[in-house]
Amino acid sequence: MPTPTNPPPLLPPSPHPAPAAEPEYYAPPDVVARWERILDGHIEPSDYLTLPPDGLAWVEKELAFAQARLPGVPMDPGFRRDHLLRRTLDYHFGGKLVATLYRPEGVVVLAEGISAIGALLRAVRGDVRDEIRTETPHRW
Amino acid sequence: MPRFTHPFTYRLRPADPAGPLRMVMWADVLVELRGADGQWNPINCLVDTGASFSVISTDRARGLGLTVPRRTSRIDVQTADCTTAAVVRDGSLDTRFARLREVTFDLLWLFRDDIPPTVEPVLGLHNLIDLFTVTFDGTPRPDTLMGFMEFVTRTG
Repeated sequence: MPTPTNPPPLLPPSPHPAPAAEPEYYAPPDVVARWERILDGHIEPSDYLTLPPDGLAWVEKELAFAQARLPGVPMDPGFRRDHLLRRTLDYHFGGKLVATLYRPEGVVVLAEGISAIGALLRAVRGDVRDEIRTETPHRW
Repeated sequence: MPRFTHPFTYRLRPADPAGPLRMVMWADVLVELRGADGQWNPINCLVDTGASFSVISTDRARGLGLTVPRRTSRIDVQTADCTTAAVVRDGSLDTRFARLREVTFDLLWLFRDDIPPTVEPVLGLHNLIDLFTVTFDGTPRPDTLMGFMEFVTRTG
């Protein structure tokens, strides 16, 4: 009786390089303390990302481009705010996987990379867990 | 029928002196996936009407604590410029949209072992369009100047 063998692959393997496994991440105590402070609501101004003048000037140009689609009708403040926060994230973390927290004052990055994010999600309380968003901002 | 709208996002790319100023748009939407511990995980997803399946990186799913199926299989993945073989896992996850939390649905997901966790998950046609009617609308409004998507439940 012939020995069954796997058929040869018909297609070449994926061109994506196999993702390199990140080392197991153990959050240092100061990182855990920062997570706890922020998620307890004690967010310091320096926790929020800011956009430097060159980035802000480009974002204003983008907002003017959008406004030109509806001339004479004021832009909703929420549209401006959401775009500004997205682009601020792009500027600092474009192409990287991050865990973010959005507040009326701005956006805070809590962790970068899937290992650190996993540690963060395991460490935080359930009632704030569903406020932590994971996303890969677009490259600036 | 429960529904919500979600604005398109956009960027202006710095101009190549040889070409015009480029505007790029994305149909991304905030989706929440329920993990093995019952917690909801908000993630940004891209709506891709050119994709047959909803796809997420296996590594990303594991890192978020989602239930990743153990059984693997191979499929041919056809992209715009090539066809390749990929190792995948078929599963379903409790899913909801962040703007429509009252509606939880069972979405089929393809977990791909070969894509890194930085790749944003994609919402493809199967089985999203069994659950929602999705409309792409370019009408500018003060809160959605670049247009919007509208998601309407199909099952009430």
